[in-house]
Amino acid sequence: MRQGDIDPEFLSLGLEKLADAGLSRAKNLGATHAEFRVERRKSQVIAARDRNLERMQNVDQVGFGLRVIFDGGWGFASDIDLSPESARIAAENAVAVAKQFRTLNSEPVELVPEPVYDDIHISSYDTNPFEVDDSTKIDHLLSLNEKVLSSSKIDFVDSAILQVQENKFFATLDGSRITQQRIRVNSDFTATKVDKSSGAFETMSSTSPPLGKGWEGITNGHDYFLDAERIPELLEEKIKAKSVEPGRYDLVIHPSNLWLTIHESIGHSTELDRALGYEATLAGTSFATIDKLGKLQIGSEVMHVTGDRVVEHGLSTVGYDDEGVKAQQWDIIRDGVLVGYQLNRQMASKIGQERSNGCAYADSPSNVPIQRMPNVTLQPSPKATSLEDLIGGVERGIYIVGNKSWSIDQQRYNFQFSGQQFWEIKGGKLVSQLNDVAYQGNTIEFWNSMEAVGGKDTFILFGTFQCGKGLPGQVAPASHGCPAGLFRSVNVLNSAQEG
Amino acid sequence: MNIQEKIEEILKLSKADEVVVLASESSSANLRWANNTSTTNGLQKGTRLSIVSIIDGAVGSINATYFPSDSLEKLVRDSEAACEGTPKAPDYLPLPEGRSSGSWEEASESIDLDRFEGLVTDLAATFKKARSDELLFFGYASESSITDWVATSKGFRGRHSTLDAGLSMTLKTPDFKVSQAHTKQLGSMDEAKVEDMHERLMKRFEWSANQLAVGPGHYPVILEPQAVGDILYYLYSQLGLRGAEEGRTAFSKSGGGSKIGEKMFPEFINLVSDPAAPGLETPPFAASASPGARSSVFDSGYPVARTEWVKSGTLENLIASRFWAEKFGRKSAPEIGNLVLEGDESKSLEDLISSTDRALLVTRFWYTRMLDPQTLLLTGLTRDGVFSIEDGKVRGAVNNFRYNMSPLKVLAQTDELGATARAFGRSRVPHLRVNDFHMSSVSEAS
Repeated sequence: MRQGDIDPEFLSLGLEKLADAGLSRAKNLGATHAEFRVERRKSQVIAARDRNLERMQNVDQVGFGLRVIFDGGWGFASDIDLSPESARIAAENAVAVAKQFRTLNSEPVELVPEPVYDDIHISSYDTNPFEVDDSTKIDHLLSLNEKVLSSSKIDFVDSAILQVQENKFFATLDGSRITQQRIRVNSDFTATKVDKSSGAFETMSSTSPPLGKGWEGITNGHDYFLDAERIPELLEEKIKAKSVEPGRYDLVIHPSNLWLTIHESIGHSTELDRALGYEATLAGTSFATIDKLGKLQIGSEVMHVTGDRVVEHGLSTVGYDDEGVKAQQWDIIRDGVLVGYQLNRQMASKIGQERSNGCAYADSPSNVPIQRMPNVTLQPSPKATSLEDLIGGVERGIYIVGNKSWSIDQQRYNFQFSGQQFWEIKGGKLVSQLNDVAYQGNTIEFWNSMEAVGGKDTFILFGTFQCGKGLPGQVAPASHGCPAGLFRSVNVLNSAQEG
Repeated sequence: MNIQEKIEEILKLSKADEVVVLASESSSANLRWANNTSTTNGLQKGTRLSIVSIIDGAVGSINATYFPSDSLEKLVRDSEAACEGTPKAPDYLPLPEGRSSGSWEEASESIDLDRFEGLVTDLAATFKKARSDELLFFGYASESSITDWVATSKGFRGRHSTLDAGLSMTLKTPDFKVSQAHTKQLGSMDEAKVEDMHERLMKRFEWSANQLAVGPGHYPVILEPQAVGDILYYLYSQLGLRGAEEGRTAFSKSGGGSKIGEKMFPEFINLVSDPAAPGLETPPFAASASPGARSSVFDSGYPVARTEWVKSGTLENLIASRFWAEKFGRKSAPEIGNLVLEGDESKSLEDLISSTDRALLVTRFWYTRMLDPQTLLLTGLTRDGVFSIEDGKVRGAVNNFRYNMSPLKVLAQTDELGATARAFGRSRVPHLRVNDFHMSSVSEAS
């Protein structure tokens, strides 16, 4: 990859000089490890409501962070003033922080080794969305809204585009120099139907995936205008649909819903920092404790889950993580058994791993890198199992599309998910929509009830821009590709009867 | 050039019909610990600048965190260029006439590491106690200072400064089977009382000696302020006038319009926001970098004052920018950054427990999400301490639950208020005794 492909405004920030100033000061002060990160994060949100532009927000965030190990403990400082003098002061502050809190260190920080790299990485995209005229994006949203509102079945529509360009320059005392640029885009819309006489209302959203793509991710991927044509009809049917009878049902779950169940129940439970208790104050711990590695049957034998930071267009895909570890792919669950965790360099050392698998990420220059979720993928069946095959195998069940409400406990056992569309299955065929469906379960029971996964033709890469973790709070993007899945005898609630 | 001079320079450079400039400087320090050792920490400085140009009613804005003096002209021109090709905002109103608020010239405050000195000493002592009790200690402490400046081309100049701190402490058994947590939102780190918080956690470990299994069902509950705050956040997020008038929130009325004027809760329920609420102060003026139905750039500089959302159980007001309030014939009530649910300061938690025959005591909720916006039905889980109360006494700790419950029902079914404490963001809420709360299933998490 050529340096010329990286945003020249980022390269003009005097990256090397800043890093040299900060790192050399940290070394002189006695830091045994130091890493310096300059980041620029450009983002744009455009939101339209009905036939009007609601909001267009452009944010340009620039700054640097410097993290040291001093006397066996971490110290971190950040600033927004991009001068060598500020970098030197940040090094002094980071060491002062480490000194201030060292009486509380009972375990010296240890990092597994990683080779030194001098490299440039740019994510895979065709058209940088920041080079597309704002008017083109506004037109896209207003045309979409017009299409939805052209149906008399809809009262309101809200739509939005979100795009991010993330540049990072990473330098370490031991010589790594890594420059990266990533692009991601997301767009969706929600249609609302209101019955003012009864005070009732119902919504339905598009099921479009956020992706590590450029503007082509909006125009050449998911067919938003097909959604705009279908959703008014689907929403009207949903409003008239019968309310589900609570009980046990077989579920066929579309990737637009299943990705989030994977994210919450498998993605978060297999973060090693969480399993070891390092997230206990906020995000919680995990049922997947280290004594269960290689033993715990999390799911059925058709369950094969990988972690990676390499898949093309993945939201967590990078060249290197924020500790300078080269991107990799590995198994988390094989044949239904827990076989791996997500690691950063410190967590890897805690369980005797020789190398991190590269899951460190900081969401801004002012935050420290912590272990964050890679792309966590449920692999499809090697067989050519179709969605119709899965539905065909169900006598009495529900087919669920899209996600709406999600919640899981702090050890990732008890979850409850809702969706956008729920279709009754009878005798292997879709009958009609249902309403008020939510499925509730225990992670291990749920994944062990997975009888089959679809083949690669049912596989879709979904994900999120906004996964929260850490204190101070950080958000991270992650993709979750998955096929459709068939689950037997899952507890289904009627949400209207729950309150 | 200091930040005030940069703002004045931006106003001079502007060629827009109207312009709003929002700037802030922040400074913060934090410390996190787990498994009886410190984990992460940091000392952070930040700035932010928003320039909002308004040309023929169209809005163009830029937000930057790095804006040296020689970049200002380009930023102003970029914000003006962003108006091109942008349709006129449908809720455009001319900016309000200027006045001033706060001491404009005053600089921002930096957080110094020395402010953590006492805390570190107290934490070191608690680490020692945890080890001798064979417990694991987890937590997070932070202090932050944010100063905001807002200026408009109509002459408004406003400044507001906020100092906030927080201390969160969790104690667990080494197998994580018992977990007790307590979080305090503070005015500054000087207010941190580590020993008191530790004492409270140890009391709850005593309560946990008797472990009881309780199944799902409908129970009377006493919710501690953190739990109340967790669900009221969602109520506040739905308290907008526009959505209610359009028929798409839980505050919409059958037949059209909003539920303003409707008695929704018992007489003793009063929910207010007040920029001058002691310890929860927020800017006494509206400020926003974009149009919106709750807060709008077109209201920037508009004075805001104490607003009663619910008075004696009746819905009195809903959040509305000037434009949307006028459109629906209601009083303008821009969003205010705090929330107070009034309580009864004479009733401690112990008083509530001793006057309760049977209930579950809930410390906090976790992963609360909307399940049905029509009824404001939420789902979430209990965490870090649920206890069984019988005959005015705590009988032991019980398992965690998933709940499905609307905060509207929580307030409607409250039969007793207790003393208040700070909760989410800048809120102050009381203990609540609720006579019917739906625990939908048991969570194995501990």
